[in-house]
Amino acid sequence: MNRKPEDVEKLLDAFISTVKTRCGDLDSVAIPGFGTFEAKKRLERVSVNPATGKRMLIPPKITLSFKPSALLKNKLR
Amino acid sequence: MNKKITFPELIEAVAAITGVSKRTSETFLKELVAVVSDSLANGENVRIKNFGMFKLVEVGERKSVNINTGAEMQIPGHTKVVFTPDRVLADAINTPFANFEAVEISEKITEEELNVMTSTEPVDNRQDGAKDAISEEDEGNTCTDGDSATESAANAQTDFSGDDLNEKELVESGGGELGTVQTEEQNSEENENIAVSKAANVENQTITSDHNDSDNIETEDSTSENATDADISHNANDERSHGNENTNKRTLFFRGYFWGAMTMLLIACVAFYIYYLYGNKPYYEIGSTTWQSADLRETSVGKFVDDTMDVAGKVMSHADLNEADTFTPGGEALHTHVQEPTVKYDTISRSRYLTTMSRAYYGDFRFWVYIYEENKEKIDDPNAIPPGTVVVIPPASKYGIDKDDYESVEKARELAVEILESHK
Repeated sequence: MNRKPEDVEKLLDAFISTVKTRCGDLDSVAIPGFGTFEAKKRLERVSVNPATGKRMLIPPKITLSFKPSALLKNKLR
Repeated sequence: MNKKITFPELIEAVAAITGVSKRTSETFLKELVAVVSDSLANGENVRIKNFGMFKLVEVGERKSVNINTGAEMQIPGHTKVVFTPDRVLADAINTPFANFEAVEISEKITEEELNVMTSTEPVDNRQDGAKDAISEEDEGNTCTDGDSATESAANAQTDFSGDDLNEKELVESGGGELGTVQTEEQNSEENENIAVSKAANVENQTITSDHNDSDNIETEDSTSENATDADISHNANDERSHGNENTNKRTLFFRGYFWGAMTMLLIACVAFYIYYLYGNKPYYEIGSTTWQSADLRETSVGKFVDDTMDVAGKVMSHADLNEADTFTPGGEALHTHVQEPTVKYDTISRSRYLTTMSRAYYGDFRFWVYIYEENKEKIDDPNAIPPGTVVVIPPASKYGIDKDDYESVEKARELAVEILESHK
């Protein structure tokens, strides 16, 4: 606490970029008592538009997901 | 890959980036987590700019069954936290696949064909003749018979190796005689795709218009289908409509063969002639000087010749060189013919990495390691190559690259792990 706003911004940016690069490498970042950020690979798939019946090939994708830890879950209960 | 970053490592990383002490970084991260979880506990959604949003979602009461006893039980309602990454972060993480787009699939493809398509790339369809031609056309974004027509032509008269179609780029800039001049400014990948279709159309005119078989060239990479202009899809539709009868198809198909062979022969003749005029300067030397003088703008484009767009590729790379002419001393038209089809160059850009190149040249992204090996002295970290770096694409034979060979892929994968480990 008692930190300058610009310092906070710098630290926050560093945190974000760390998560970004690590998860970009498909690693996961764990923060105890809070949760885990992990990148998940979604495979390509064929989806059908129910309105038009058109079939689309959806390309593969990497998404970031967050898994809350048990501690956080209990806190929210 | 698939490594778990622990809290101390995270603290260290943050401290290293900001230059503050580990203690400061640790307290900051703990405060951050405390603030976020406290706000969540108070029922507030938390949004961090450039990172994402932690949202609370109410989950209603529901019934469930104890899997051990089989007894019914009630799960009480609760709130759960959902994290939605910010657009910026999501895009940054998805960069390896950012250049893909959703593509509509033609109705005529059945499930089995789709499965085949995803598991193995279409290989050689010469033998199957007209019957194959129809299904291939339906697929639209895979190999077309134009491919095989040119392929046969290539086998007929030159020393090209039959299996690596994309390895040969017949390049000649005196193409005016052939009427296949194509001088397009090619800056981005979209442009490239458009150029492909345009090139295909130009080719269309040179060969007679009634057998589109040999001209229906589309890139295997399905994203390009979106970008191609209406002409080509129109072409394809035309074909489908009047190519329904098998016999008709067959004659068209062999006519396509014939004309494809004739055109190839003509191009080859002119190219050889020009090549001898110009002397024995190898293509890649000319290429590299060109790249140095040109501001790297158009380098990445024309060299990318996929399995299925060889004819278009020829016109394209030829167009590329046409542009290059302006940079060569003397101002005389540059007449070249690729003697060494295996040495190629490409340029790293924001949307073109080793993996995308590997996919383009070898059919599988995992072979990027060999491109890296070939350019080790130029590349420091394979994950952080500055855009504009020109890399050599080694011939597939040099490292025994074969996308259908499990062992080859596996070897590349192991090498990738090794390389990435050394750059941690």
